[in-house]
Amino acid sequence: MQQTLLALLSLLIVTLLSLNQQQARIQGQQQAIRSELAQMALGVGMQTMEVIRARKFDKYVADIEGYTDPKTFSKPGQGEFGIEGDCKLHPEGSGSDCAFIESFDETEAQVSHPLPGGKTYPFDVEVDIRYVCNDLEPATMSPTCSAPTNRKEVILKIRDAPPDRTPRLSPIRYSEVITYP
Amino acid sequence: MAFIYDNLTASVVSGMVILILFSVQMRATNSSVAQTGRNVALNQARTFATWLEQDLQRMGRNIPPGGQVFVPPSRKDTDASATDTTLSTEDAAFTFYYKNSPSSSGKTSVAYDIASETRDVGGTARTLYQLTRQRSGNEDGQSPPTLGYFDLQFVGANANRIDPKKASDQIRAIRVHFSVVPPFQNAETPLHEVHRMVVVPYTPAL
Repeated sequence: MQQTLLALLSLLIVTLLSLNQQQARIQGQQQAIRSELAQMALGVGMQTMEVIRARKFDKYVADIEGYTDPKTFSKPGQGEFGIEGDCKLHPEGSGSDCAFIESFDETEAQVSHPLPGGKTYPFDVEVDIRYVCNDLEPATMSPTCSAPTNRKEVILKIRDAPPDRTPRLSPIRYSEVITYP
Repeated sequence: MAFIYDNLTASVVSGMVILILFSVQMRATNSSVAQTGRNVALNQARTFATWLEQDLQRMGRNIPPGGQVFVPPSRKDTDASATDTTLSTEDAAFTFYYKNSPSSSGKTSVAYDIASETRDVGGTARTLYQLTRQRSGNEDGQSPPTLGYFDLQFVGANANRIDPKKASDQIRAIRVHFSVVPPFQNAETPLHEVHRMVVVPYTPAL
């Protein structure tokens, strides 16, 4: 009886060991997939950032050559940031073809990352634009400057958007500061 | 034999325990090999992406307006690519130019030469690519030899593809797609390829 109990105990221990290893393997695979999705999201962020960077810094920047005083730039909270609807973030996307950086504020769109075999993986992208001071503190929170300034921070929040399940990633934040001139 | 019959229950159970331990050990070894292969691919992809970003941002630097900035790449079809193409391994290499300072007399040329090789990856024959960077005609840097594909595109203001031969004035950024295949794979390998997309602004003359 004692021998049988000890044998069963050893069986139990190795079975638990095997189960534990299996769980660690599944967790490792899920982590690998999340990490790969995060890198794809970063690629989507870099592409979206270049779409926004390709626009004019502000709608009040003079068309002819010369310097425009940043104090005359669009002011947030006065209907000059963002547009009715969303800006277009990629060639197949819906929305308007925006011409100025501040127009992209509060744009939400889906951007796909291409994969081999004509497949794509969709990501939700949310854009926020705000003025920052010389020390890169947000102008709304800094005592050293007030909006508008000659620096706009473009903040992208990117998250995977699989059509058939809940997202695997927490939103990834990717930001850059674009300076005028 | 008599000993086994005398302790039959213990013999059966110990046999099962040994089998389970053996399978656990095998799985751990395979998992470790797969993890190592993946880590190699991840490190290579990260280093190569950073290297590309820094290199491509030099494109056209200090070249006066109107000067030649690049020689457009030629492509060939490949099913393994996210863009359905990869830079050609046969035609002239993609080349771009920059100057170290506006007053420099000559331009520095950088060419991306792509070579392909069929290799065994996890028991399957696969065409893999390697990029060799040539600076002013001399070899100066290489990509990992296990690229699954490598393509470079010029994109416009909405991330739309631009034909550099027809509308080079509309280019706003350069987008590079590539993948790195882990050098060794097995059934435990979670992802058989690491895909990356790198986008850098196109700002010649700056």
